[in-house]
Amino acid sequence: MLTYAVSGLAAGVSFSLLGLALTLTFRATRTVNFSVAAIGTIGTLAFASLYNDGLPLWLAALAGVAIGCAVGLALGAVVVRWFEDASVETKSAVTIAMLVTFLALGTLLWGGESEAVPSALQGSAFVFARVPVTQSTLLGLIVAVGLAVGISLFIDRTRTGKRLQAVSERSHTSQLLGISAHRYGLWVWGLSSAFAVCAVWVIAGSSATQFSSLSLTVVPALAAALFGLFRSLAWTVVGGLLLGVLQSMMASSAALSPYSSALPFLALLVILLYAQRGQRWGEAR
Amino acid sequence: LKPQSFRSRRPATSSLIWGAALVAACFWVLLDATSYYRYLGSSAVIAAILIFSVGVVAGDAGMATLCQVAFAAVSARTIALLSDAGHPLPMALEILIAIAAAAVAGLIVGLPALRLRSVNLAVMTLGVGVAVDAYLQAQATQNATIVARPAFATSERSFFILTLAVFGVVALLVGWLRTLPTGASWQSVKNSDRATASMGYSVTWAKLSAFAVGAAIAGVAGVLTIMQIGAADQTTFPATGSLIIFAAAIFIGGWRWQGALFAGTASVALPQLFTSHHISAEWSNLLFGVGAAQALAGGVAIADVFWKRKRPRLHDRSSSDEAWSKAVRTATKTASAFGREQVLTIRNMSVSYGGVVALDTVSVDVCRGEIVGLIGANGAGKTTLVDAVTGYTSYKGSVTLVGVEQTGTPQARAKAGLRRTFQQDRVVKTLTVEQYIQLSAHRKVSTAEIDQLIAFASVPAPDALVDRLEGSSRRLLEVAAALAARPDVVLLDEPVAGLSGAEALEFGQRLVGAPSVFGCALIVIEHDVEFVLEVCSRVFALDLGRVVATGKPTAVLADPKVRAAYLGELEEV
Repeated sequence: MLTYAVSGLAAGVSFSLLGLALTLTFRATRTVNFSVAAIGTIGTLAFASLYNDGLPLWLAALAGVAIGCAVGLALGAVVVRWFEDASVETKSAVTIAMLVTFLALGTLLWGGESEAVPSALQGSAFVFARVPVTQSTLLGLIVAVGLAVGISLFIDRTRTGKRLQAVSERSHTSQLLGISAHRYGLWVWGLSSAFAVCAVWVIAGSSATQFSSLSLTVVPALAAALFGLFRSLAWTVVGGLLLGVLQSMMASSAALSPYSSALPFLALLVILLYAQRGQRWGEAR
Repeated sequence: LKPQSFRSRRPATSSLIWGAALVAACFWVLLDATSYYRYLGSSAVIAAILIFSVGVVAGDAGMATLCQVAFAAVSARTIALLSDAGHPLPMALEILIAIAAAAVAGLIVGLPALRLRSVNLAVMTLGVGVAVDAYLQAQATQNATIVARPAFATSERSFFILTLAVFGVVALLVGWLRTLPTGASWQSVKNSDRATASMGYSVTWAKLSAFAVGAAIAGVAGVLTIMQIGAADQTTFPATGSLIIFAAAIFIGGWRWQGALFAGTASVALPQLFTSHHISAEWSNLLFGVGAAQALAGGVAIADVFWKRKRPRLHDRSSSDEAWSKAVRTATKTASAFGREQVLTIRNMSVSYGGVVALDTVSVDVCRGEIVGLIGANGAGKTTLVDAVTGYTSYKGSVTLVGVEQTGTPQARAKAGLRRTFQQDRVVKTLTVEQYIQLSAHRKVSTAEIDQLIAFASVPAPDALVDRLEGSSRRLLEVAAALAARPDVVLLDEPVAGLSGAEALEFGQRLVGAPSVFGCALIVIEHDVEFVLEVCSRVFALDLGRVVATGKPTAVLADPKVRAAYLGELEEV
């Protein structure tokens, strides 16, 4: 059992990073980015293609992250500029529409085939519970936890962080105070796209590498972000890791494994039911 | 509760164009096309049914849904299981059970997302879509049950006719549902939860029913799909299909049956066109995605462009003014019959938010036929009082309406005759003035009554779209719609905020006659002192959650405590 729990860490790290990207984007620009994993997949598969074409690993990786960032920034620019005053629902619907576009684009570029994605760091870091924990999983784990702590501290303690908070809560008022909401929004979109590329890279090493299935890892990521109620970065990471580990443990049981893919959905159900207790009449609606 | 007539005035020219195009397309498919094209024609109509299901959930009720294909899969799987079961049921019964299964799935999925933002529903439905897809992938090998077509629709030609007929029935049923109170409340819930409850409709039921109807329609598409292809495999109902359907509904328009039919045809014809020119069919999905984003930016789907509203019939202002004063004159003759009947009694009402006391043992009583003012500075607890009395906030104390203590939800109180309006108007913008009044009234309102209400609110025309009205007209229309329900008491939360002085004065003159005409009492919460002096017969002044003065408006406004609360000084200037 423990063996499976440990082997679920890679997926957990990936869900956490994607969840962080979702939460950050939501906090900064009031948008649930349904296409976050698709953007990460574009970056990752671009990296894999470049590497398989003979580019050195570091250069290909850099190019992959850059491509993912560029796509994320382009979508972010559309959302931030054209949909500035739109509701959360409308902005999120735009990202759903773009998910459809990215799915088509991914199939056009990479076909339905799987692309071999090279692991960042070869070999295992250490063996725990008879499972080799790969260096990339370990690195991803450190990065995810580090990011959650670091960004939380950054937002709470620094001047730029305060500005970010202002932008997320009162976009127009911050504009009047001379803070460019557009610029901060775009920073967050770019940054979270970079997270997404790393996240998909981690999971692509351990599971199927089809464009559509990688893009739909947004579902467990959404569950992770909801675990932090789209606010808390720390709880998002916890939620992502829990989900990854639980899913791996479920897959190990013959009776439960057919339902392991329904786990994110069940998690969503439980979290939503829990989160809405007491919330009856939202002021805004 | 009787069905209300929401007459939709369909413009004749665009109906003709749509009808002609439809007839031409059907003639071609039935007479000239090969059976391959007839097969594609059926696929297009089935896609149109799916897109129409998105139109109901997203277009009517404003909820994003990303698992319509999963609902189709549920009904397809159900009918496959039923026809495999060994005890053959009549086919019609099997089909009904399959559609009901999809509707039940819709109820289950809609349940957790009732109260939160609708974006959470989108998250939830994507989760469902992916989970169902994964389940079908895992079950693929055992899934080869053959579902036969009905005996009368085995050829591609007759099956095409069948799908068209089913589409027609679905479109008619949805059109009929939209004329019922439940269907109309979908429009309201898209706009605002609070306002829906304030008109006496259950938010829960409105959202769940829209979701279940959408799922059932998707279920119809699922049954047709499995009948068309004979047996489903793991690629028949992909999770990404729901996303494409959603994009197509936004891009081309899924709310009207014409738009859904257009979108369904495009979703089948475009990939076909691309592949026949050796271009990947994926380009069509790419187009749908980009087009949907573009439609969201413009706020208009393609089908909407063909749909221009007829110019509303203009209302004769002077004659309606006269009608209103006449109504007031006749009503005031009988108004003395109200006597001193107490319609609303608020006893010892206290509300606290955390440690902050917003209301402290407030008691107010109101008699039929009078207009009572409630004044106080910002933060005095005025809106809290309205929220508590109408059931939006929990409180200590009691609220009694015509002898019956009110303890229920906002919609229960609204139905009992305790209505309210909001500080920021929450009218249903997508309806016409008349439809909005009918929705709020919960009964059939006669044309004469509508004209009277329109005269009262001085709104230009009954068939004007509420969205097209000026801000001030909308505020008055909200009051008129509440009065249309013939309530015992209406609480008006700052009804003239945002109106010019002259507009406020004019509205005040009309409001004075309302209690006699509609046989109710009004509680008006207002900052505008002139307005309060003009309309109110009695005034309660609130300060920091307590009633500090009560009596005739002039006396209360002269009270030093009230002046201190308002002007922030204790000595007279």
